[in-house]
Amino acid sequence: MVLELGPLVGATLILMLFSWFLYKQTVLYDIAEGVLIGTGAGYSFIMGIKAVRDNAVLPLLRGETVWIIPIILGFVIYLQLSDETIHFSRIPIAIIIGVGTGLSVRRVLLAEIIAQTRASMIDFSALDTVGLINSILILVGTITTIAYFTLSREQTGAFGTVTRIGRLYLMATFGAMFGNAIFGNIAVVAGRVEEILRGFGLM
Amino acid sequence: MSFIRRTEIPITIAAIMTLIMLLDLFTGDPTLRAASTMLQSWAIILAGFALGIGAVSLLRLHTTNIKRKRPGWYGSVLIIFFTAAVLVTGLMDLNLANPILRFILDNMYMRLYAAAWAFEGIFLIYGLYRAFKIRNLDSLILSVTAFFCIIRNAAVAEVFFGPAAFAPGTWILDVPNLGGIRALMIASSLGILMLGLRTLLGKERGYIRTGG
Amino acid sequence: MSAKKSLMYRLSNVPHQVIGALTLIVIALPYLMPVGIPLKITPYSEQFKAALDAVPEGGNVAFSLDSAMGGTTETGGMIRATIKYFIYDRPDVHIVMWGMHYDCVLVFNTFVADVLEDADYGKEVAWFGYIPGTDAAIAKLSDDLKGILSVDFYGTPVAQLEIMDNINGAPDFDLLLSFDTYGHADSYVGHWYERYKTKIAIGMLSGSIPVATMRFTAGQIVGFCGGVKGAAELEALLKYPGPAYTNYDVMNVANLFAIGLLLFGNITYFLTKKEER
Repeated sequence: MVLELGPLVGATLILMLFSWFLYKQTVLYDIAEGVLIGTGAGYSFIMGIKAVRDNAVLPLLRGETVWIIPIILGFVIYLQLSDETIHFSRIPIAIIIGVGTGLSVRRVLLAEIIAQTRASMIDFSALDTVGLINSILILVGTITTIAYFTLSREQTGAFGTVTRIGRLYLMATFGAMFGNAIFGNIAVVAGRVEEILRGFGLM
Repeated sequence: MSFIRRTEIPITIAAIMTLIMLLDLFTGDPTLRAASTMLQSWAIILAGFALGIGAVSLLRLHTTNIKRKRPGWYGSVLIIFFTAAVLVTGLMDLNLANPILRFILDNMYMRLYAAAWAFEGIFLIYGLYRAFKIRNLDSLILSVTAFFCIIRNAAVAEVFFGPAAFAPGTWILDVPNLGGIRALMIASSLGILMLGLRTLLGKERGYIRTGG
Repeated sequence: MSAKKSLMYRLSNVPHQVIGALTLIVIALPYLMPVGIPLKITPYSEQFKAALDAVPEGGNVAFSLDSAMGGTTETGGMIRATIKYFIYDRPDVHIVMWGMHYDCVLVFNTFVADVLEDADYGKEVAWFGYIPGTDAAIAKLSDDLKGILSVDFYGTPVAQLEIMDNINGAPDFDLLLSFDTYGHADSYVGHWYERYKTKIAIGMLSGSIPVATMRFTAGQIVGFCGGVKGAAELEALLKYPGPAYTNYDVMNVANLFAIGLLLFGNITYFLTKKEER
């Protein structure tokens, strides 16, 4: 049984983190959590520095002076760390928010609202009986579930029946998502079990 | 310089940015296209800078914990040590080839990140046992659809239930799930449209912090 | 005896420590004593492979590593099998790689780097590393790729990479592959497919299969590969068995355990209710 330092350290840290649900929060869990938070924060910072260097600083040094503005604005973001200068940092944040919101609206308009509404339409000529029934069920599900999210009127009477059907469709959706998510999340647990077994030389 | 403190300035900037992005899509005007792509580049660079805010705030908080010897300050020492270790070794070689950095990332960060993700799996399994109790029609549908979708993913189910084991799960995924998820997407997209409208009109102020 | 002390009540309220430990033991057993459950290929995996095969001779493929390291238990196998397929079976295809999640560098080092040693870097393949900004980055890459990618991950200017000579944005790619754990694929559909009709195929977590089904039915993506099961099927189809294939029977045993827990929880619940009455 040959143990390598790296996998052994990793397996030990995994077990320390798992001690939370296997027993209770202990100092071992706190140590593992501290290592995770510290390494994660440092790593994300390094990736940010590299991205800025490669995509803005290097082009600037090659003479593309247009990059000076986002670089200066990027440093201005850090002024939010002080109460006296926080108002300056709102400007670059507003740029991020504005660009992000505009792009999100573009994306959902094309990919979600228009495309999904179009996909809900039934082509009666192209389907057999079973396909037609399924398509009608899908359309009913889409309409009733959207109706369920209408919060501006009381969900009673006939409208209440419609939204009740929508809620049942939602339950089916959540059940399907959960059923699929279970498989994936078990895979993550399985991967850690494998690392524990390999780290301690049991595999 | 007191005018720079006015909240109308960032709100107006956000509205103008949103407008440029939308007008670029709807008009295709070359000037707007150039402005839009330039602003996208700026947003990318600003996002890169923003990645460091978390680390800097974390270091500030935990340095204060250590100075004031707050309960659990030993953990803060650990956090600062590893943040600094990754930062220093990372800055030595931004291609992440430094051997110490590789050891920390490959054997500590990657393992712990995945292990933290595994918590979700363990608690989903626990939730399956504790929360999926059939009390009414809603929970019946939830449990039955989850049951058949889990069966669908387990090839070994064919041994117990025969080749038809996967049919109910596949039908659930292709019909009721499709109706529900499409509606969820459309509804959430309408919410994003409303957010865009609020930003354009200057009603969205959540990102304007007043201090601290 | 009161319901509180009854065995049924205790069985319906087993603490999470016991369930957690049982889960780890059940998952460990197939690793120590492999079962060998046969793999069943589903149409969705075949369609994903068909999307890969449909890339024309000499075509360009964008490879977006959008997985967090935690999710690579599910996406790692499909990433490795797909890159091996293109490097070894389709060396005519040009691969341009980047990532929208900052873990992409670690994912690249773990699953891709050794395979690319067999490729002609700069002519067959290029790696650009992490691009921050998600929506902004994806939109920018679709319109003006070289406006943001000035150097590759190793600092080589784009002008010196022969593979990038005729690539300026989404219209120049025959296929975009996004291996995603965070929803970046939705941005690709919105900015690459809806505007430029670039073909998109997605590899993602099992929990995202319902969303991918929706996109596939709407014609927004040409294929998807979901979770460990999809990855195992893809590895078998592409004939590059990897981590997903070897974990397959562990997953099946664990899934049976999950079903057992669901049934057990409900049976003990109903029996406890009956006792209380």
